[in-house]
Amino acid sequence: MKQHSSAARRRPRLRRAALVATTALAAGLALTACSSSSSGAEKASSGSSSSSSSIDLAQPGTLNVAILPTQRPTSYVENGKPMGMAIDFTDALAKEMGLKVKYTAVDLDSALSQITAGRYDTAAMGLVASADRKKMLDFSTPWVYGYYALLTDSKKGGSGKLADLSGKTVAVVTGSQEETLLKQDYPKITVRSFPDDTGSVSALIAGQVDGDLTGSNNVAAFTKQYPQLKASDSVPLPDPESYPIKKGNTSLSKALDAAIKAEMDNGTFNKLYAKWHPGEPFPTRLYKDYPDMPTYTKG
Amino acid sequence: MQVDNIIRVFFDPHIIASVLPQLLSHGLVNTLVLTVFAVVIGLLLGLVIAMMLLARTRWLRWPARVFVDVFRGLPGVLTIFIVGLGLPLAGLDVFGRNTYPYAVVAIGIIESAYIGEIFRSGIQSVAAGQMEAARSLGLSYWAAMRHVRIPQGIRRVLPALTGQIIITIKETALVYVLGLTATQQELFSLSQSGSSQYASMTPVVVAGVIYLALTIPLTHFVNWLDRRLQRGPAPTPASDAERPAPQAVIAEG
Repeated sequence: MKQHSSAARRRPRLRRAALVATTALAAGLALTACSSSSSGAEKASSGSSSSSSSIDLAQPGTLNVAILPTQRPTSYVENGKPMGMAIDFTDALAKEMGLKVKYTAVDLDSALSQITAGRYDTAAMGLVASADRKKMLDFSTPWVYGYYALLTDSKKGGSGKLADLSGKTVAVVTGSQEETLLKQDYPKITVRSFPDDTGSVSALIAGQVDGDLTGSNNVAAFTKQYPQLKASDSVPLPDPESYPIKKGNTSLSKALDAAIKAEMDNGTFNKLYAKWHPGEPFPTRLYKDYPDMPTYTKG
Repeated sequence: MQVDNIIRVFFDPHIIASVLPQLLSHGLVNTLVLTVFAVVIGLLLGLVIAMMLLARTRWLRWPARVFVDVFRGLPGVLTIFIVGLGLPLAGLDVFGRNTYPYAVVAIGIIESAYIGEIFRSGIQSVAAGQMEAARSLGLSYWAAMRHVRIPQGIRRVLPALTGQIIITIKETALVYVLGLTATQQELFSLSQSGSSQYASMTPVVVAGVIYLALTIPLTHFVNWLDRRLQRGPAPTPASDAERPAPQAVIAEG
């Protein structure tokens, strides 16, 4: 911004004035624009929080959020639109904080390094707040708990338990927690790392690997697409899934924590969980983190 | 503050120290292994493609033309993905479970399309009189090709070929899409793992420097080769005396 000429600097100001007017109008009409999104994925929200201007963001007034292109049903892109439970939940958080949201689909590695670099404010995805990652990034309070599932091909035989896979090859996504877990706890398993879940599950179907260790949020989609696959083993996640934040950005982390608590307590999370994970076990550890949240009844 | 951030993201000395040995000891080695095999396949298959492109019968020319058009026209990453993941998915797991042969074949195919065209242009640029003279000396078509036309043609395109090798080195970075085990990671994927481990761009920057250490000298070698081929070798009294005139090549056949 600093290098812009004075003529160029005038335009954003005008636009901002127009935006304030639109936002006020939208708030007056009680419109929520959250469900409409385009490939550019800018979403306007009629926020109510007064503290939104004091949050330290890459771009004032807008929450820049990294998402994954293929993490169904949590964070993915379909027909050019960001989709998934994490996107729905983040929309609700942004509305709570009075911010616009802009989603950008990137891979996991660049998402994390670009948050450190300050290009994205946070990431809407199933991202585990592990001890390793906490060295590089701050994390919000938990928004969900997941488990790792080992997918195996039921036609190939074998017990399908991780403990019995010594000397065999298991697919993971590069830079994922699953990769770290296998390397630490199962050093005798050969780990083959793919850039995304599409590659690792293709390799499993093709018989190039003996198993695919992936996040619980992938299980429903993959077993539906490929009936020969089954989740034959699972490892509970030691750490919650949380929103990553650049180290030291306490204004954003406070705002996010408050917004998450609000969406837990008002039942939004439960509604979204029923929508995206019908019939799956509810992460009951959330009740301990958010004592005021309603008990999950559906599914 | 800002400068601190830039250093931490791109040039963190602690991260450089911890990733550099591994990048050199197996990232670089794997990149070179992939490059060498892909170039060998590219050269051999490329020569066949060039011969087919130059053939007098259209039944050889046309398939070669389609091959070149297709593989020069596709993004490299797409070809690698289709060959590397598609072949096993279709049950054609000819190389078993090892990723490398699939990757090398895929890159070799892409390179052969480019190299085939390079060879063709070089061979075609040899004056028709060379071939006529060779045939009139009693050489068969293939003998004249082998001893007269192809050697001269290839010598003319050495700079272009070296340029293609540089492109191959860079292309090997794409094999990460096929999924690599820890021992198979080449420069790029190894640096990317490091990047996510340290939440820093530094490992990727280090890998970039290693790539440049390979490609920049090669680029200058190409330029030197180009100049030398245009001017001929620097004359020395001895070589002038024993070397016959350049066009006397036919006499050897």
